[in-house]
Amino acid sequence: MGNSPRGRRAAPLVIARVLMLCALATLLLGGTARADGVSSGADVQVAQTLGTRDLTVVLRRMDIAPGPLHVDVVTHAGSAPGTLKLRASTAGTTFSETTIQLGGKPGSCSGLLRVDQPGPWELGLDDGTDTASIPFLVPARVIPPWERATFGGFVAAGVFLVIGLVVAMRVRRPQLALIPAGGMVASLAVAITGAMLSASTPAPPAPGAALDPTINNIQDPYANAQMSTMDFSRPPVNLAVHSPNARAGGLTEVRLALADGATGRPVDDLLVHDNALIHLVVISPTGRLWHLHPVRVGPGDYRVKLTPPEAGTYAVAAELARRGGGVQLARTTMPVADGTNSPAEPVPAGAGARVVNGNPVDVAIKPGTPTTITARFGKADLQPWLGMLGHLIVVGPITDDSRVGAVAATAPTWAHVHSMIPQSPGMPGKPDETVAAYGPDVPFTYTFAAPGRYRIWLQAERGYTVLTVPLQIEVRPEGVPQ
Amino acid sequence: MDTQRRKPVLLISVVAVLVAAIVAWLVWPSGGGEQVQRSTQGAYTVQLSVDDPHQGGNVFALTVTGAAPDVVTIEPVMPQMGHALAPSPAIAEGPGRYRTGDVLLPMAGQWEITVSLRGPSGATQHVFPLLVK
Repeated sequence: MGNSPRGRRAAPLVIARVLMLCALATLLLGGTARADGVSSGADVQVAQTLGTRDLTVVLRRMDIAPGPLHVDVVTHAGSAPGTLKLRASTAGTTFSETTIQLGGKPGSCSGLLRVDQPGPWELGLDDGTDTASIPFLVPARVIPPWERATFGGFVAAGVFLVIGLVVAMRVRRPQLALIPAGGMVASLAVAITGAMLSASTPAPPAPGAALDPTINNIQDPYANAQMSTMDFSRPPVNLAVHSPNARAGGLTEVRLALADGATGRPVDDLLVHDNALIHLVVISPTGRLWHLHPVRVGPGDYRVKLTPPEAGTYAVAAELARRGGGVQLARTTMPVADGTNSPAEPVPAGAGARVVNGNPVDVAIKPGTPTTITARFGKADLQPWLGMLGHLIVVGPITDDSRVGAVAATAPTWAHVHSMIPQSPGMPGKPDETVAAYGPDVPFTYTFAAPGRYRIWLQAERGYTVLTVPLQIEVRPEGVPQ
Repeated sequence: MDTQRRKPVLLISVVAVLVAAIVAWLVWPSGGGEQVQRSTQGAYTVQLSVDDPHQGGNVFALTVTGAAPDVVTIEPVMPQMGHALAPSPAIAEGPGRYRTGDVLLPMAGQWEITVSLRGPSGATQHVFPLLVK
């Protein structure tokens, strides 16, 4: 039958068609695999208080290395014009650099760098006076083992099919085609098993978030798949604050030294968490608040500049996340010597309408367990700050209005509450600060642990200005969980 | 007759070779072996290499270029366990080449190897992550 002249003519045609189908399937399936790989990262936003500027550095997602790295730097209102040098380096060697002009008008400026290989990298910032370095990862294209099994199995099945067809048509004993047919069935079994297991296969530990990133584990994370169930958490940090020349009215550099709570070694594994390496909250003796983002200058060495307006004891709290997960809060104090003191900050009001930096804000407080605090801004044009619609710092109970910093440093409650941005359908990533479309209501809900007088600071961004609304709230005994 | 006998042999061998090739492609060992990492700080460029890092004794080889240090030590730390080991000296075995004795790493997992250099060109610390199997 297979030897009839008609069959012989048709055979090459069939083989060619089967081969084309196989090739087409490989191409189509192969394309999907790449899009789903580890390389499909997201933008990384890092807030940096560099010198006297508050910057948000946005590293746009990278698809392939070597390739371009787009960096956007968002400046805020009051930021001085100037130049900023950006530098991409790996293993201590600079690979590319560029200079961007920061205008006097707040907004986004773009720079283009190049990276040549996947692995751990650092982005250096240099404004001529202060420097910072932000560790980041350049992803690699990774094919998971189950995907290899699936595609390998389908390709092998196609090849066996072609062999089977040839054998069935060209060989005198067509039953021999059973051998390649058996191979095809086995290959299909491998492919389908691989595809079915893909959903339940645990992901290997992520370089950066769980493991110290290296070129090897970024290129082949599945080599460490057997560690996928391990607990990667690390010891807490010890925070030491040095500001020897802090004087009221003068620009002060605050140095933060972070040491491992178990070995004493410098901590150099901070993750970008809520769009910053460290969220530093500083509270002055009369209740002024700073929410700053110290820059990394070396392992365990972070720095930030601020102008303390009054002498006395300041409360300092650093919120950070180490590799392995878990956010921790380290609290301490900072003394500021006498200098040119500004007038004391008045004790803030409670709920009600007020004007902050020319923006009308109406704060409503609904006491209870929990308490809901809602700030209503005039228009729905708020910008996300640190990936959130709003931030609320709650400290208390405060017993002495002239020593708010000292009391806050040891107060039983020190909270950082978020008001989230509603997720836009079809937009998996977070919007950056250039999207001014949120609000006007910024709601927060918090459960106070004990009755007393609390200081709260509500923060939201509009027109590239972070607005801080200080409030005082009295929590009655019936407003706390019994 | 002869052709009929030869054909199955050829066919079976083709199928066997294909199966072997696919299996080899799937289970081919990826990476492993010698780990080499490099870091530049200050005047020194350090290259750390260790052959197949494993639980137990490991020998670290260092190549220092740029400047010549007087003292080279390595300090292994297992950050997850909060455990640091006492520094081990690396002995010079040639210009810019140093080697440690057997450094005992008592557990598999994520380690950080700090190479400390001291010399006329200053003191630096280079931290190399190392996965120990």
